[in-house]
Amino acid sequence: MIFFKGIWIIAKRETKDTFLSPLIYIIAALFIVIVGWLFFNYIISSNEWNQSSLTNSVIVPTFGIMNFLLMFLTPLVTMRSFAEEKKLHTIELLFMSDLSDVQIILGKLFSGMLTMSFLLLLTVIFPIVLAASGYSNWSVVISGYTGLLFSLACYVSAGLFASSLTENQIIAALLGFSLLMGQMLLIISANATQNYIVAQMLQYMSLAFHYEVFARGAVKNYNIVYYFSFIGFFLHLTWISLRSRRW
Amino acid sequence: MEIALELSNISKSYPGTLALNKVSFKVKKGSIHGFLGPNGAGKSTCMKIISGLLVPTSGNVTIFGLPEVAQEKIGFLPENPPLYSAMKVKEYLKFVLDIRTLKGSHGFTVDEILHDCGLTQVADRAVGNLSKGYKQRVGIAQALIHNPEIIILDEPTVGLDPVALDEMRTFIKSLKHKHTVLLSTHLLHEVKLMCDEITIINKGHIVESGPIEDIQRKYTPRQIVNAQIKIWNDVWQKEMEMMFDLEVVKREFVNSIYTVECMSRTGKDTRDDISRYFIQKNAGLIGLSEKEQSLEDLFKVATSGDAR
Repeated sequence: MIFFKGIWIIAKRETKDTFLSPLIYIIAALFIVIVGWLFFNYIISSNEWNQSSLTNSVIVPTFGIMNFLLMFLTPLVTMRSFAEEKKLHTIELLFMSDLSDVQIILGKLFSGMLTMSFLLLLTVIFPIVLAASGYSNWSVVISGYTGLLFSLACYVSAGLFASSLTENQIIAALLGFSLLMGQMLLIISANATQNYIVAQMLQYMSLAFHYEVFARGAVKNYNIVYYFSFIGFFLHLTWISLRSRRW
Repeated sequence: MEIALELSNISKSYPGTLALNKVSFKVKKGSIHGFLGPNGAGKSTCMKIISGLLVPTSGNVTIFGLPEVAQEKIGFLPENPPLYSAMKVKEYLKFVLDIRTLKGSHGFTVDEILHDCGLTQVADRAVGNLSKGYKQRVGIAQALIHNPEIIILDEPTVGLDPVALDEMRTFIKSLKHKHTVLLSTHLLHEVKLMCDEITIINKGHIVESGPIEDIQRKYTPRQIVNAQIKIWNDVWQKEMEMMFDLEVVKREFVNSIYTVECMSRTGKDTRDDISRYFIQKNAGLIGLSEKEQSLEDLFKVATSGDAR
C-alpha cells in the first residue's frame, strides 16, 4: 500500500501542477480543433453512412490522426517532468524522501497518463455524435481508445526518459519528438527494404504497426507484449538516467 | 560527547577532477558546526554526500555510529532551496511531510512547523510570490518537518536583508541542542556568532577542524597585547622590550589616546607585566586586551595553500 501511496502523492502533485499551467489548455484546444475539423471532413466525405463505411472512413482515420497528433503533443506535456525538477533542484527533495526512484518514475508516468487522458476524454463527443445517427460498432471504438491509451503510455515513457536527460524543457521536448519520430520512421524503412525478415522485424519494432491492429479491433497477445516492452524499456532507461545523478 | 556525524576518508572524483580528497571530520551531537571554504572548495559536494544525494568514490559516512546514510535522520537545505513555486506554503509543506514520513516515521505537524518557522501569516500564499527571506524559511521548514536529528544548511543566509539575517541567525541558534546543525557559510563573523566548532575545507582537502578558539590560537602562535594609554614616552619602548622580552609592533595616537601593540617574543602571556608597568609609570591605562586574529585573517591564511 505504501508503494502505491507514494506513486499517488507524486502523481497528484504533478497533475495539479500541470492543470495550473496554461500550456495544457493550449495543447487541448489545439488537439480538439484539429481532430474535430478532420472528423467533420471525414463524415462529409464519407459516401455511405452505414456501420462498416463509418468505421472505415470515419472512426479508423479519426483514431489514426489522434494517435499521430498525440505523438507530437505528449513530449510537450512530459518535457517538464524531470527537466523542471532538476532546474528547480526539487529533484533533490524527492531523492531525499522516503520515495524510491521507481515510485517517482511511476508517479510521473501515471500523471502523464492522467493529463493526456484528459485530451482523449474531450474526443468522446465524436462517437456520441455518430451514435446519434445510428452508429453502434462500439467494439472498434473501445479497441481504438484502448490502443490510444497504450500508445500514450509509450509516448509518456519515452518523454519521461527525454526529460530525465536534461534541465532544459525545450531540449527535452525535442529529444522526445526525435525518439518518437525515430520509431515512426521504422515503418517507412520496413516498406523500403527488400529483405522480408528485416522488413518484418522493423515493422514489429514500430509503434504504428501495433496501433493499427488496435484501431481495427484485432488485437493479438504480441501487441500487448510489445507495448509493455516499449514502456518498460524507456522507464528502465529513465531509472538509469536518474541513478546516474548520484554517481 | 556523542558524535552525531563522522566522515572518514571521503573522496569524490569526477572525470579529470578530484572534488574531495580523503575528507574526514566529526560533528558533535547538539552542536552547530561551521563548514567553511572558498567557492569550489567542495562544501556542497560534501554536504550532498552526507545527505545521500551523491555516492562517494571512497570512504564512509557514519551517522550516530551507523555506517550508512540514514536519510530520515537528515534534513537538508541546499544552496538553492527545493521549492515548487506554484504551490501554497501549507500545501508544499504537507507534500514534503507526506513524502518524508511515508514509511511511518513521525514528524512535526504542518501547523507546528509553520508556527516554529514564523510562516503562519504566509501559509496560504504561493511559494513563488514570497520574499527571499520567507523562501529561505520555507526551505528550512522543509528540512525540519520530519524532525531530523541532523540538519544540513548550505549557505542559508545568502541574499537576506539585515533584519531577515538576524532572524535567521536567531532561528538557527534555537535549533542547537534539539538538533545537530552543519552550517556552511561565507559570512565568517556569522560562524563566530553561531558555531561551536568549525571545519575549513580548501580544494577538496580538510585544512582544519575543531573548536574555533583552538584554530585561532594555532594560527596566532605569538600573543599580541593591545593597550590604550593617555601618556606615552619613547624611552618606555626599549625598557619594555628588554624587561618583558616583547616587541612593540604598532603605536598610534588617535583622539588623545595612544594605542600600543606589543607582541610577545616567547609566547608567554605578558598582559600582567604590561598592565603593571603602565600603572607604575602612571601612563593612564584605560584599556588592555589580547588581540585576537580575526576569522577572516584565519580563513585567508588557512586556505592560502601554504597553511600547512
